[in-house]
Amino acid sequence: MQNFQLYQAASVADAVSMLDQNVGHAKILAGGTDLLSRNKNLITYHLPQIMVDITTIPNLSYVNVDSTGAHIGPLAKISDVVNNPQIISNYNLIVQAGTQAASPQLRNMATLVGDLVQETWCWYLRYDYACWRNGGNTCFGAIGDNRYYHSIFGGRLCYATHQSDIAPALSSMDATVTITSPSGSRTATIQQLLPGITMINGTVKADSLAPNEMITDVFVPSTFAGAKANFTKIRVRPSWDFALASAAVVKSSNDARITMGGVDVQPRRFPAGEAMLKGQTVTSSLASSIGAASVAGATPLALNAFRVGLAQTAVTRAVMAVA
Amino acid sequence: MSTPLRVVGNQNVIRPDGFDKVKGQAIFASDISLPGMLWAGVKMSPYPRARIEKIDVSAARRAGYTVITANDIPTGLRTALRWILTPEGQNVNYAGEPVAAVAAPTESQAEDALSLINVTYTPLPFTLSILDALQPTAPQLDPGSPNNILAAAGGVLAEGTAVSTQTRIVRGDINAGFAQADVIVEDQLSTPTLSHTNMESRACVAQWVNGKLTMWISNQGPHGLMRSLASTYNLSLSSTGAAGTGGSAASNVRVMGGGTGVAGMTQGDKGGLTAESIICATLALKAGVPVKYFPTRMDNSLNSSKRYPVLGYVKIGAQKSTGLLTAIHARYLTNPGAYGTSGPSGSLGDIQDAYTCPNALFEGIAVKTNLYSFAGAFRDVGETQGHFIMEGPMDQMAEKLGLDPVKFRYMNMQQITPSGPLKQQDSGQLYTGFGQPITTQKVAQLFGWDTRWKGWNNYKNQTGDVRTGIGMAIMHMNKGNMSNPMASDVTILPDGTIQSANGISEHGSGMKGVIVVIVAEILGVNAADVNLVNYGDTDFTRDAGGQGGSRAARSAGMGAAAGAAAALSNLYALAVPYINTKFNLNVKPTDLSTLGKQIFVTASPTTTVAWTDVLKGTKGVTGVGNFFVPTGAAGNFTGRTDQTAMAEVQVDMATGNIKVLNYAACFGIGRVLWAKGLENQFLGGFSGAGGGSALYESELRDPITGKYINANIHDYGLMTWLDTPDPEKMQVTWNEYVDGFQTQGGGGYAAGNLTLPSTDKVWGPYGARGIGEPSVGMVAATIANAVYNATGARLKTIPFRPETVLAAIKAAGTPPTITVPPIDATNVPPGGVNEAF
Repeated sequence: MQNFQLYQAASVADAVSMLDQNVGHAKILAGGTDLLSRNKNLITYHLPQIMVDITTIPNLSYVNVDSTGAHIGPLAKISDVVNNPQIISNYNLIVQAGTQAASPQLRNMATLVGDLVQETWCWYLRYDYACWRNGGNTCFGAIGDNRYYHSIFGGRLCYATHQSDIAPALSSMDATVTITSPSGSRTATIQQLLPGITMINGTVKADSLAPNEMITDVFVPSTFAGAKANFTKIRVRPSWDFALASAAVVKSSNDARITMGGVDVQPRRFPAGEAMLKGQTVTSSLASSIGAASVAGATPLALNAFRVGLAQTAVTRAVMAVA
Repeated sequence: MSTPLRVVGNQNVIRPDGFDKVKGQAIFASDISLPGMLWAGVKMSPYPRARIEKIDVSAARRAGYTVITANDIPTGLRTALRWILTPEGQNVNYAGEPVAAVAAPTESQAEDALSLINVTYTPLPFTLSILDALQPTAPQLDPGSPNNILAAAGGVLAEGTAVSTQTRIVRGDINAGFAQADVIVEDQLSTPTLSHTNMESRACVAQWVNGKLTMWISNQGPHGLMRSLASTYNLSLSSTGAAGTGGSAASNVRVMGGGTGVAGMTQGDKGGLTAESIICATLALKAGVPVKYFPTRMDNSLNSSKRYPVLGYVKIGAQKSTGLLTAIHARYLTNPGAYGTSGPSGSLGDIQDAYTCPNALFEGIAVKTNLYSFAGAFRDVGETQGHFIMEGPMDQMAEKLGLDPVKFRYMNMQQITPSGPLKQQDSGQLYTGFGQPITTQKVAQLFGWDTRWKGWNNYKNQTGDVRTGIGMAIMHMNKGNMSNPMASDVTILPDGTIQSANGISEHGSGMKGVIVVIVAEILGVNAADVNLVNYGDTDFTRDAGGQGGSRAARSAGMGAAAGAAAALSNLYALAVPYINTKFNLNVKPTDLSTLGKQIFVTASPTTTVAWTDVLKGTKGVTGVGNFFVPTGAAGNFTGRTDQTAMAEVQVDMATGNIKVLNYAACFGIGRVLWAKGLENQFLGGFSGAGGGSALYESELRDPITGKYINANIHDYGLMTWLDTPDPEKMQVTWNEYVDGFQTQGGGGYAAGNLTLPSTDKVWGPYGARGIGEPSVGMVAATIANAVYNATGARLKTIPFRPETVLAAIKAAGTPPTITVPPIDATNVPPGGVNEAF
């Protein structure tokens, strides 16, 4: 285990100020389900010397739903969100995704926001190979055993997929996040938050957060409240596995969203498919066409071509489910 | 005439250690904390093969940590057969191989100490697969094993482990057999490396006081380990302590291996003198204070023995007119890892007797690689691999013959029934199974095979993504003997309290339940009346053998029975004069019976006295029991457990996901001792090792670096309870067949030391047989055959993860590619053929 200082923040301003004063050395600690075990197992290059504990900040675990949409606080656990009756009735896509994320125990500890900005579960990273995310300059996944955890749509530097189940769901719900730093707040879409592989302050990662920023709110607008929605996840074990491929589809009377998960370095919006789906009556042939189009241009690696078919199946089934 | 059994097989007996475990009160080795105790850590090689140029421990020692290297390991263990810590100038041969160990005040400091050790390696070329290792240009791992074909015999780590490097079993003439055949099936199948992944790692705590070594450890055989440690560290055993013939309180080694000392759990990686026990004891000796080694998940995976991978070629021939097999040829190449000493006999030894085919050749070699540490037991010693590779082709043959797979098996299996004559097996042992025909009939009835079987065209008649099908497999498992004698002490205190002292461990398999059932049956009390004392503590118990080979219920069970019978004998010796005086009778011990802590005259049940009256004024009675398998009769006393399984599966053709809807099995169990324990073994055997390893589990290595990539529970693919079939859909039945002890009169066990008439067909307490390993072995083959019935795709490698299933669906109907080379004069290992095992 790497030793660290625990800083128990009193407020959001206090937390981001601490991050700002220790750029590159401090990280937010919330659910801690992965950060603490990474720290114990010494498996990432940039282990924080300071953990900024935000669980001491009051009033951040809210799940508030009103006519404009749903606000989810940075300390709301995945289980808090998926068990909320209003989320269940109006924003069910998030519930479908959230209940298939991780394991029951992890969902009781992990925050929804932490799920969005999770470190990837690539087995090369996790076994301390000197990869891009670990201070090295090789993607072992691109050349080695890439059957489960690497992109089928290419990559840059690191080929590890973004494995969140909730991010594709939020993406399809047009959710935004509020990001706070000492200099103020900004709003970002899920695509802006998770643009693919970034290198910020020498750290290779999948999100666009600056070292002194934290997510302080997730807003799900009511655009698709109550609309037909489906999250389909294909994985090895039904109990506890990352997606080999997933699809989050939502369809209202005049609009539609499709986001694919677990197949690219980011949650992969599929605008062409959305155009095909929008305003249409769903038939099995339409679903199949959208599924086939979803993997056009896929560039699988040596061992993950089987996941192209899985991605197609996930999209096809999720579209069929919103018929 | 036998007395009906009251406790044996009783559904109401609960797990004696259940409450402690559920409440978190059971003490495991990792819970032991002693004053001044240090934590151990192990420095491992990151390379699958490399020369160790230098191990620099000076910085760690300067920092005040206790450090050991090869030179500190007792000399007897310092051999290339398996270094405990590999020395400078030698090669490491798998990623994770230990080269040094440290002890430090805290776990975190142990990590710091490891980071101060600097090892200089020269990386060398390596091989991971059997076929690569057989290439003429492959790196040679061991000069004693030319062409990487295992030749070394012997073993340092497992007490009494049989070693055979090549297997060649011949009967009849396969060429003639294939000439008679008009249907041939030829195929190639394989199995992966599996890691035990017990929830409890191989934890131990070692303490030296005045030259005596005490060890708290999760180990399958406390007494065997005690003797091995004594030999390793040149410590004396007491004159009466050897081999369980007496207590060993004067021994200079004390092992607390499960139960009162510590609880544990295992699937086969905790037998014998494990590397952890040596590292821990050596560190404690050097540090002069107690040391705990609680391996991390990764250490535990990498330095464990493994279920070994097998690459198997099978060719079988049969006659269409009769449906009978005419020839079987099985050629298995096994991968024993870098330091494994076991050959293919574990996988070939049992399948040879499953079918009565007159012409057969079962042959195999073991090929050393840098894939992993060493081959070992994993809820069997190779039978699962052997049957998976054989039962797929057998299913294909049934289809080619146009026969129901049950009928095909039935026509070709050993036609032995319990009442039938003993038959000399091809392996030379007497067949003492409980009749595959009976287990097959029973499970077919339970499962409803005849109404559910929709024929070989079932998959062709289905459309859509989700298909269902059923399948079956048989298994023929031979588990060996225990060493004589099997012993225990049972004490009845003056107030009637019963204490049973047993030297075996409890690793979740339910030995405690088995023992209390047997003792209670013999003493005429309830299971809850039997108190287990000093369980698994070698200072205060006798040896009844270890937990392994599905034989503990028989060996420790016989030891427990012998102790109870001896205690009862001593109690009757006091009761006879008491009764004769009180009632003015002239009875003998054989005239007495006991029930409910009352002794009565069998012929006059109202003539009764209480135990407490008989024991008044005494210090109680202790029975020392020893059970001996009769000399020269060992061949009669192997414990075969025949079994048949059936499953219904649902397969998603687009995702490759398999769902097991229903799984049923019948075991020729002989006798159910502890009913809940047996059901637990069946359910746990499916979810813990059988179904989990069929569907999900396998150890993987990076093909480029040869390093581990999934030494954790998630990526390794352990099955969770949420992935198992609905328990309501898990069906188990058994075939009980008993003679032998039960016919001896009284409660079955009269009194005194127990011996068996050499004519008995079965042995084991009340005729019981093992279930631990048999509960696992057929699962993969059964699921694979059901998947074929659902999809038309043959699964030829384990596990059945989506990529494997989708590839099989794509390849359905194409002929197999055979890459297994012949075994001939060029690759028969020195030392020749080992046919006897």
